[in-house]
Amino acid sequence: MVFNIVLSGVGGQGILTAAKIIGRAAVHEGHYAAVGEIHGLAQRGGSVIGFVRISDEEVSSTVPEASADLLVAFEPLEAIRYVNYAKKGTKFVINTSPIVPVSANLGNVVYPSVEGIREQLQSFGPVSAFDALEIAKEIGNPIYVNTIMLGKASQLLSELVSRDSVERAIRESISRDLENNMAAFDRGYSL
Amino acid sequence: MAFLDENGVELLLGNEAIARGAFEADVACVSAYPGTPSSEIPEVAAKYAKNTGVYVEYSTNEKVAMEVAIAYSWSGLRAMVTMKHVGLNVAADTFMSVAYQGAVGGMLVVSADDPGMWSSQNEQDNRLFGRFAGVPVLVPGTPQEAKDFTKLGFELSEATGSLVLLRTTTRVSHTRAPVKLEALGEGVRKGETKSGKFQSNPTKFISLPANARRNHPEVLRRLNDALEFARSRGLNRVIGEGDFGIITEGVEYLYVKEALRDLGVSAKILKLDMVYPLDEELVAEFCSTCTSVLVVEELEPFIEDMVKSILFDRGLNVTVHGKDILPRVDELGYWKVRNAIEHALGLSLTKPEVSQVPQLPPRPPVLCPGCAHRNVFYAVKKVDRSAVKPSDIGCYTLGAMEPLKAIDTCIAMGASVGLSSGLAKAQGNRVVATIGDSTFFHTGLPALVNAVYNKARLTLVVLDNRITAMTGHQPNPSTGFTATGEVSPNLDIAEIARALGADYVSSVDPYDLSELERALREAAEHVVSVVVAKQPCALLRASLLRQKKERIPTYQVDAAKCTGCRVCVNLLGCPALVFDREAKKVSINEDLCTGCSACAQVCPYNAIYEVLPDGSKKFDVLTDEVKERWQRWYSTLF
Ligand SMILES: Cc1ncc(C[n+]2csc(CCOP(=O)(O)OP(=O)(O)O)c2C)c(N)n1
Repeated sequence: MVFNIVLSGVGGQGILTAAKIIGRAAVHEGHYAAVGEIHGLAQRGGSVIGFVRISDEEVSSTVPEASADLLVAFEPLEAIRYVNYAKKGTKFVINTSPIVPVSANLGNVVYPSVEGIREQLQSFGPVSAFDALEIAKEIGNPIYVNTIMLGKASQLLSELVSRDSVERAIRESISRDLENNMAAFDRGYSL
Repeated sequence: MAFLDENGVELLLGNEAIARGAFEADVACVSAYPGTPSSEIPEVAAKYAKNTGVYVEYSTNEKVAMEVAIAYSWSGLRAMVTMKHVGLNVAADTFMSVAYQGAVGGMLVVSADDPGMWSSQNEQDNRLFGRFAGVPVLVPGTPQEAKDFTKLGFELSEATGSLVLLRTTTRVSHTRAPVKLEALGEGVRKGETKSGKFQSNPTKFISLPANARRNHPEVLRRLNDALEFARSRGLNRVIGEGDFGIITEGVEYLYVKEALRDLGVSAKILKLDMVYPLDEELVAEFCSTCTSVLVVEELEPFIEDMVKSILFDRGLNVTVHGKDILPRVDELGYWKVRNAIEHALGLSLTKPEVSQVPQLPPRPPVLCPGCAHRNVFYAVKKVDRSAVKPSDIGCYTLGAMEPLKAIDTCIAMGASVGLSSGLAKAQGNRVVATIGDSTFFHTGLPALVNAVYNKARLTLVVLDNRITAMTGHQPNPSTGFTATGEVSPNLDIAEIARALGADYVSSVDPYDLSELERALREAAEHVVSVVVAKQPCALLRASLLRQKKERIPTYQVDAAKCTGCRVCVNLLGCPALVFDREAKKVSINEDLCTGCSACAQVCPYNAIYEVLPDGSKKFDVLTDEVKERWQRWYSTLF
């Protein structure tokens, strides 16, 4: 068994933290987990992709193209950018709040419609799309987008990794402001 | 403090596992110059330096870092030096000599290679450096192996007297996976700082030709001993059965395993842990029981060439596939390896149904909102459009991106200054170069001496953000503290430039665009000019201000005054500026703005204002009070 998760978004959104938390939770659950991270240039507001592979045995940390079981996108443009990882049946979790790249402010490059992105992804598998930024602001800070997304992803992963294990991994990984993060996680989980 | 636990399983990054392995091996010193994908090794080591008594330092460049580690080894202590692959080029002069001279205490050189160039200017294969220098090379494929091979590396070094090269790749260094924790080294557990003793041995330590002639055969002797060590420790395993053989290493082994599983075919695998020196007998024996062999390795045909020569020497007639069916560029992955196995076995190739990614607005990395590098590029372009503008390696290389497009070259660290010296002569014109603080100290210094010495007409702008930002905010000589947080001299780049004999030196705050322009114009009137643009990394500054619960000023656009001319967007390209095509107005994303005011300073309609705490609008943004605030950000950063 190998379960392939792709996480994508914009540098600074905490994609790698979320990946690490899912990985830790899977290990708590007794699985092998390989979390793939690309650091460096990716931090500087660029497009970021991270992988989590949950398995019974040692595997590499790179999800092969056309084999994601779950794609979690923290930003809509960054969902469609990684559609090459999707296959028939891929599930999607998408934050619908756009972060417009500099390129779409210049010249004639236009940011695509979020509704259009959702439709394209629906041709592969079920899409949960919601405005995580709005929920995060209700809780008090845009940074909670991270744990809200993690919450929804965890709900979809619950057959493989229990909610308890994810919450334990959050407590181990996030030291500051745990209460609000847990509230954000709960909001995401209940969506 | 789970990282220092002595049993259990932790999800560790490959790089963290290397630091952990060094702690278990009772290392005395970890020295480094940061560089992706190696940087987390010294970061983690530094974090636990106080608890473990390990000496951790960021050296000014890789060559110096290598020398510091050798000093520990030659004092009888275990030492590890870490760098990214290209760092070994900088350290090569020392590395190649010390390969002859050898280690005393175990000495590990960690090179983190970057196949696929996720964050590098090339994808050189540093296994070749091991062979070039005559130094054994260990190649881990998982975080667990990264830890295990680090420990083995120290033992191998001491068993043979050789340096040992631990060669990781991005996919090992930056993979997080379960790692079994074992006992820490005695001294590390007690938190004891180790001290060693250098014992004179002129034949070994003085690389005069007569001594070097005696030491060269030692290199070969050590390589032989390394083979013995590998055999006795069970490195290089044969796994599986069959007459189709696969020779592989590192992370490639995992791709092979997954492909074989999915194809449902069996093969006999030789998994090499030590790829140099290659165990010829083992390879010959392995191949002699196979009808054909596939060598699966990233980048150069390093193992493949050696395997072919072994078979040739022994007259063994076995088909060897490798770079005939696998690419020599870029990293490998599941599909490439699976297709190569299919090819070698004469099966039809499985093509995955990969969906085409539509044309999308690109999102390359950009300079952060509030980054002062942006202001420098804006001003440099404004003051002298025609000058050739070499730049260097760091966040500021992003000055190449739209809409700034303010640099002409980038080669390798520090190269901007030497290149400028030459360009000034070759063009007969003034050259305007940009370089970061860490890069200036790394290799910019000797080249600036060269420019002064040879009178090159050069304006060198040093982007002093007080930190090594690109690689994750490591301190450097401009920061004021060391890797482990000890307060240290905060070297003033302007004073250094003066001492080196530059004709014009000026320190300016790049947030003040008119000041910056004035300094650049003055600089153009002299031969060698150095302008130091002092403003801390905006990302770091904003996060430190947030920690201190200090208010970060933000700016907004007065929609009534904005004409939608897009001057701010086109000149600065700040990610916090958003252009609404329908309303034809620019707005500022308040979540991203870090309050540099550059957009307010360039707006031709004075439509951008600072939002004061009481909510009122301040359109006159460049006041003494504001300038003082910026100064404070630089001088009281930490
Ligand atoms: C020889 C070598 N060592 C290390 C690196 C990795 N590296 C890339 S940029 C950089 C540092 C840049 O720091 P600085 O010059 O201060 O610029 P900043 O990123 O802070 O703007 C480093 C160490 C490299 N590319 N080459």
